[in-house]
Amino acid sequence: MEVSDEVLVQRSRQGDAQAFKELVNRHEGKVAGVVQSMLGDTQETQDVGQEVFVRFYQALDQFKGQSAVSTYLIRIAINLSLNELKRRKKRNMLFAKEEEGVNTSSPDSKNDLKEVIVYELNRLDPDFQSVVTLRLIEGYSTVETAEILGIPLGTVLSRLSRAQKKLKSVLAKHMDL
Amino acid sequence: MKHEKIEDLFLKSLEENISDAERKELSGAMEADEQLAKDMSGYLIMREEVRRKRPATFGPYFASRVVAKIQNMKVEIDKQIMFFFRRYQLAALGVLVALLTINIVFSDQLNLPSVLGLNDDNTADEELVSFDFYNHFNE
Repeated sequence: MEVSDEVLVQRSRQGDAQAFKELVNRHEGKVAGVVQSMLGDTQETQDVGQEVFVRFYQALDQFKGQSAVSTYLIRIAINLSLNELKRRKKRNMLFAKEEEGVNTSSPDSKNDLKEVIVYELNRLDPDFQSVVTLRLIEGYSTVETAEILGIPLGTVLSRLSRAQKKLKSVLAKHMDL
Repeated sequence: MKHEKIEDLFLKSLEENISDAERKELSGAMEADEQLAKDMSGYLIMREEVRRKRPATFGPYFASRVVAKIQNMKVEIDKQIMFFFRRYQLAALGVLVALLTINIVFSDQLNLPSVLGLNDDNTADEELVSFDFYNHFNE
């Protein structure tokens, strides 16, 4: 029988590294999905991914289990990704010309639709991006999305609607919409 | 204008229950306008494509790297604590030398126990001699 997250958290608190490792293995995929959707597949993605679990480890004593471990981790992942996007934006403003060709360039192969989608997703406003990531990519309900982001449900619905309109208009160039 | 209203209604229908009247309005509009219906189905295709994703991972040995980072972080914190106290080591040594110097300068005897303040205290109760001020000053 699989050991529950709560038991693993309890063991991790007592310094059981193996238990914490198991928690990381268990939730890596979901966290990676969110961080990669938000930041694309870059070096920072790895760093943010590690930081998510480090922060979780540091907050183990404060984790009361009111929300699921995965929800808690996704919340950290979204917040750290948004911070990273802000840093990236500042960097891009400072070194606009040098960075142009690095992360913000359009994908070479228009045939890889997934790449195009990730590229266009990353060009959305971060607030819209987080809603699309949680609702459309990770499949959380709108209520759960609102809870994770700490915003009202109405805001989630309006951001989702506007983000989809924007995405559809830019993706129409690459697919038959 | 109507296109925009129907578009909003369609997107709303994907997220929450809409009323019967809204449903009727939506289906009526889409039946009447083929292009509009195609546009709306574009949203479904897009959502399907966005949802279709590769399994996400941070690469092999990710958990081990995280645990190693946490363990290194602990060592780092220990080092920081050591560094914090190291800044005060010189000052503490200075104070110690000053106290010893003062002790040496003002001590009656120059031997190690007296300098270090390890001398037995000679003021134990039984050794105290009573002193009568009245008799003393009237002698």
